[in-house]
Amino acid sequence: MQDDLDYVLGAERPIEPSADFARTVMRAIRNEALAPPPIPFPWRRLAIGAAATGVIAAAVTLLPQFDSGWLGLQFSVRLQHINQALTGSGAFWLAAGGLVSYLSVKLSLLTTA
Amino acid sequence: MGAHTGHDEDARDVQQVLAGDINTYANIVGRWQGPIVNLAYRFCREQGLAEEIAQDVFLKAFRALGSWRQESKFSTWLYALALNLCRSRMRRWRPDLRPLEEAGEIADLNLTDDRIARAEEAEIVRRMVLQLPGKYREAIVLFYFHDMNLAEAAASLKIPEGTLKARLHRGRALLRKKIDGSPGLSLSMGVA
Repeated sequence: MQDDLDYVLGAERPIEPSADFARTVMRAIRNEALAPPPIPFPWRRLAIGAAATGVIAAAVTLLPQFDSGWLGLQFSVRLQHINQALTGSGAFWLAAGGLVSYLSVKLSLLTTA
Repeated sequence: MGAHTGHDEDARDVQQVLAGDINTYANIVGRWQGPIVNLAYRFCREQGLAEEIAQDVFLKAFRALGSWRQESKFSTWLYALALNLCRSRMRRWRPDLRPLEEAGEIADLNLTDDRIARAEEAEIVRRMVLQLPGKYREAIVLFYFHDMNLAEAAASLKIPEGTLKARLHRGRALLRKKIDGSPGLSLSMGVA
């Protein structure tokens, strides 16, 4: 059984869309259809790049700790130099900054999608 | 409002659009522009904004047309999409609600045309719905939008009917409390 609230909320007269509403929508649809498809994010390249970076970082960090005879003294010393240079130049913080920027852009895209 | 037939027409038009005939999408827009604009209007009570939201709904539906599984009605799918867009727009936008104190002024206007006064009261009550917490607001808007069809409203909200019933009950109680707390506002039958 209907009460006064049902009556007020249920008896609302519908509004009419503007005369050119459908035309405006179809114009937007055609523009959308004509627009080139968005360039997909290069996930594959990113994965390959990240994996390569990880391997190099691991090599630079871990290999100098092995016996220098196994690696060859010169090579081991060079790795140590690279390691020191990366640490000294703040490469870690640069990489971390890049990662945080990337994640924040992805997050904002997700929330506005 | 929500009682729309044409499931077969929708399915056929969707197939044609997906096959590349974009112009057929005009049939879908033509068939659903009224319901979608009206649904959006009930969430914002501004025709301009309602049409903006409805345009976004049709654009989003066009992009996602391939994801409509035909087990559900096209209207259910489209309303769920519209509801999502209304939700996100309402999060960033607050309706320009008439202060509740004005409800008292309406009673003092002593309008000769009783119908105008009743219509204004009804509009205030409908705007009060927008002040309810989201889940109650959506339950009430969808239930009355679908001509009080519980099953269709629950399907659009993607919740069980029992949950919808509970939200309606609580939402109506909150609304009734707001109305009772507004001096000079009394619900009367025969509203325009």
